[in-house]
Amino acid sequence: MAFVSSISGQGPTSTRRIVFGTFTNGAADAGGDIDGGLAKCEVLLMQYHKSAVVATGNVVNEVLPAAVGTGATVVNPTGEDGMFIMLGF
Amino acid sequence: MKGRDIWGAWNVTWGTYVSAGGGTGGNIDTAQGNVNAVFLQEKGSAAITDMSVVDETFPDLDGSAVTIVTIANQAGTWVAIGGQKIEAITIDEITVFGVTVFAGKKWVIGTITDGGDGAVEAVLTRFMNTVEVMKIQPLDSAVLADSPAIDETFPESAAGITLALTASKSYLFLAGGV
Repeated sequence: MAFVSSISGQGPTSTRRIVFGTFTNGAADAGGDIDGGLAKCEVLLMQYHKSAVVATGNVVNEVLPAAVGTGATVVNPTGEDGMFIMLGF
Repeated sequence: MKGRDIWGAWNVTWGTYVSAGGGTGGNIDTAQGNVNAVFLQEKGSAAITDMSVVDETFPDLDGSAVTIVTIANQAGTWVAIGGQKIEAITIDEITVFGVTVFAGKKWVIGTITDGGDGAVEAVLTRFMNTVEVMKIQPLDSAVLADSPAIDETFPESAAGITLALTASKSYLFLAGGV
């Protein structure tokens, strides 16, 4: 199974749009592109979903802000899933 | 500082940091008078071994010099939340010091000190029925070997949130829901 991201909620702030959702990595996947449905991504935060702490941290492989709101590349430890929060417009 | 926004009752600023030249952190100027929470997200092309931390005690902190600690040469993005001042609500190891509404959700910020998830539930259920999103940021004076995790598939009842944290460590949290 490939890396997949999906939006589970979104709404406006005063001047931006905030989007949050989940990402999942297949057993051999170590990240991919998060699609927040935005033209421009200014902030991208990630959070692990797991029953135990994770020994390796995930990273955003973008120079933000950038026009990557539909494809912001992240790198995760192999197979680790989580949640994202994206801010942009 | 790269941007500024208002999230309900919260002033929010964000920007980037880099521990260049072998550096391992320093002070962030959030461009706010006081801040109640700062969240970090590391940047890079490969997953990292140690988590960046915020070496401060929140809330109501001088926003001009928020100390963070990173591994050498680590870069990333910071998000600072400030503006609102409410009387802190503490239950067991959990303290809430920010509550607002934006984007059609209720949002809460606070700290967890060596907390069990039972205390998190006791606090979150006062503000929302269902948690839809949550972010946890380690607070410490040295980088943390393990990343905190949330053992849930959101949306999840606020009465059933289970966290996986490192013992004796403190964390900031941001939770959103309805």
